[in-house]
Amino acid sequence: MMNQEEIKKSLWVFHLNTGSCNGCDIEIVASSNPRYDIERFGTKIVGTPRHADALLITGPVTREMEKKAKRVYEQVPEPKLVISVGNCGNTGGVFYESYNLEGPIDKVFPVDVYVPGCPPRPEAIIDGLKEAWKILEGEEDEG
Amino acid sequence: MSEEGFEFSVGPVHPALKEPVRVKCKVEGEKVKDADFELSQVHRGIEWAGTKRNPVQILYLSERICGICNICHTLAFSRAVENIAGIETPKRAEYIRTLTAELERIHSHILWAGVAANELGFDSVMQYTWKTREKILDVIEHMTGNRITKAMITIGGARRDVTKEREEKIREGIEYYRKAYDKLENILLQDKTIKARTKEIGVLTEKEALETCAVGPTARASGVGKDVRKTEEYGAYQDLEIEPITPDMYHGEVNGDVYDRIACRVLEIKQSLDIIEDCLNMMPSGDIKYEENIPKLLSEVQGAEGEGIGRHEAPRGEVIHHVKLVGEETPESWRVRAPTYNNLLSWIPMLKSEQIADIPIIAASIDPCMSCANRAVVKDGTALEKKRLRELSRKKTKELKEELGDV
Amino acid sequence: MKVDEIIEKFEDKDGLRNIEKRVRGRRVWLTVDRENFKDFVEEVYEIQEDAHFSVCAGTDLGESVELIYYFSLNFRERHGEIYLGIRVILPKDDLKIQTITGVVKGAQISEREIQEMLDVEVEGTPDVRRLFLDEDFPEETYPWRRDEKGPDKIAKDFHEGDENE
Repeated sequence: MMNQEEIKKSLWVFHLNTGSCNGCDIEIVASSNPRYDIERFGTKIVGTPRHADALLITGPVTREMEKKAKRVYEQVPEPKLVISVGNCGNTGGVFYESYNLEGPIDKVFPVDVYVPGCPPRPEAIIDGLKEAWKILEGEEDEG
Repeated sequence: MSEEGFEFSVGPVHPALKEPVRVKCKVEGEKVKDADFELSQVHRGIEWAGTKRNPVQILYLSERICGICNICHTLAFSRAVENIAGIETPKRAEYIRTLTAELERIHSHILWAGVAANELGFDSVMQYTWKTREKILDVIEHMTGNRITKAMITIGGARRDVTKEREEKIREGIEYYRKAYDKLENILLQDKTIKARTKEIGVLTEKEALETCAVGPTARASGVGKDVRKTEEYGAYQDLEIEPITPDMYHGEVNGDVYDRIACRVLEIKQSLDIIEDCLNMMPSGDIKYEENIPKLLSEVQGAEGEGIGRHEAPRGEVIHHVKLVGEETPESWRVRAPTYNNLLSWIPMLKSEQIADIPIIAASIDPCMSCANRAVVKDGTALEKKRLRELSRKKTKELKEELGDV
Repeated sequence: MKVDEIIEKFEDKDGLRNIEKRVRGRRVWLTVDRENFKDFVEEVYEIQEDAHFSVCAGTDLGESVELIYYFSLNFRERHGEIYLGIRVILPKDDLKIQTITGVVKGAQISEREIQEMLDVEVEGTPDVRRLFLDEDFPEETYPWRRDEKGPDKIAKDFHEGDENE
């Protein structure tokens, strides 16, 4: 359980859609609405990757989005994290066989946190962000 | 900015729409001269994957075509298969399907209202609408177990029943929305700045709507009354007298602009609340599935031969699935046509002669769902980067608000 | 308008010979020759000036490719919409069909799609660019085909190589 004093810096995230069905994307946006309110932790969904600390990536990476996503990844300054949200990004989900997909996200980027679900609830996404904090602030999670 | 034309493109990664799409526009000064779009970022090969699975597995695949309108795809697919195999769905199941579809319609329209407000720069409206939307997600979760992907529909019926407890929760939700409706209507349709930003912007005339074969609220806002719920006999709709909602029901005229599209969607929320209440009051008793045993159902469906069409009125328009079965384990062909597919062409007449700052709201007004359209432009002039377009749109709202003396 | 009246209109006109007709409720499927195809579509728009074009469904049948163009008539009448499918069968060594964008503008997207998905040449269509496939997608690979030009050879299975974990 993290106390508020433990959060030293705020985590800004950039949301990147590499071909998902939108379910995960609307749950990410829903996590910033008044009921779940990730802004009380200082987390913001920013409009440009250059301001972000972490990338929230959804979707199985389609052939075209692979190149664009790589460019976005390069624009995020170090230290950076990749959080893979949703089953499609984690393992391919129902799209495990296709002619236009490059693979689950970890075939394209080094993933730090996986958030499972189809789509994951906003509470699960907040839990994923918590893991991301821990990594960035130097505490390794053994669990 | 030079006075000669130049092209710029927005996307595919941009903070405006939640999905990747590239819109290309040719501009001269501040006005758009021509527009084009590039899809292909979300093509996942769904129809191909469908031909390698059996019909029950395809149900789970079709749900994930789109997260926002997933009932429509499963419903259209089930209807197509039931059409071919001659399966009769029990009456109670039809009512449950209709109920879930209307719950989804309310959720989708409120979501869209928040996104549109965000494009215009009304962040507080976006937070209000998305907070209001949480209630319908609670109702959906109580009924189906999940907020977004509902998995309520199976071939020949519905998977879960509406028990007394669930019925109470749904009625509670209807009460809540009837009270919240007036405030929503006031914010979205009576606000001076929203009217100034959306009236006479992005006009699609009736002729253009018919030529580009637009569907859904995009077509209805231009006066073309296409609505599958009126013309096809399915679900509970055949017992109710559904009329397609056109903007003259709200303010007496049909202009085909962005304001009219907002009006159509807000009125449809009210219509859906009435339909849900009617479904609950008129719900017949009986079975909810044609066949409980899945392997038996599967063998019956796989023995059928022929082709069929399943249609449904999704929140964005007409959804069609065409299925061809040849008596084997997997279908020979499965074709999905989502409503955004038809509505995309209407971007071109809408964007011509509009200002650059209006591009985000016009593009969002057809409620595009790229993941539906893509199952299987502003070219870069560097002067305008991706974020800048949204900033321009929000700046215009701010200036208008000051002009109108709005606080 | 009733289904029988519409079918009669097609059968009455000279030169509009349909090979096969199938009716189920208010859904009609007519199989026509490639040569007569455009005349049939024009006749649909004679019957109703603002008929709605829905979608073109294409299937690879092995030796030939089948295209079904779906139109909707009478969409303003309660419980009265008639859905008409015009089917054309094209031999694989001659995959050509005429464009109908002159009659219905909204067919442009469907025609772009069948070009890139099945390698059907639509004569006279204004736009031949790819729509759902990106520009780097391999040439001579058509996702809806089931023969050597199909996408099976470039398909990936993400679970390949997964041992029993």
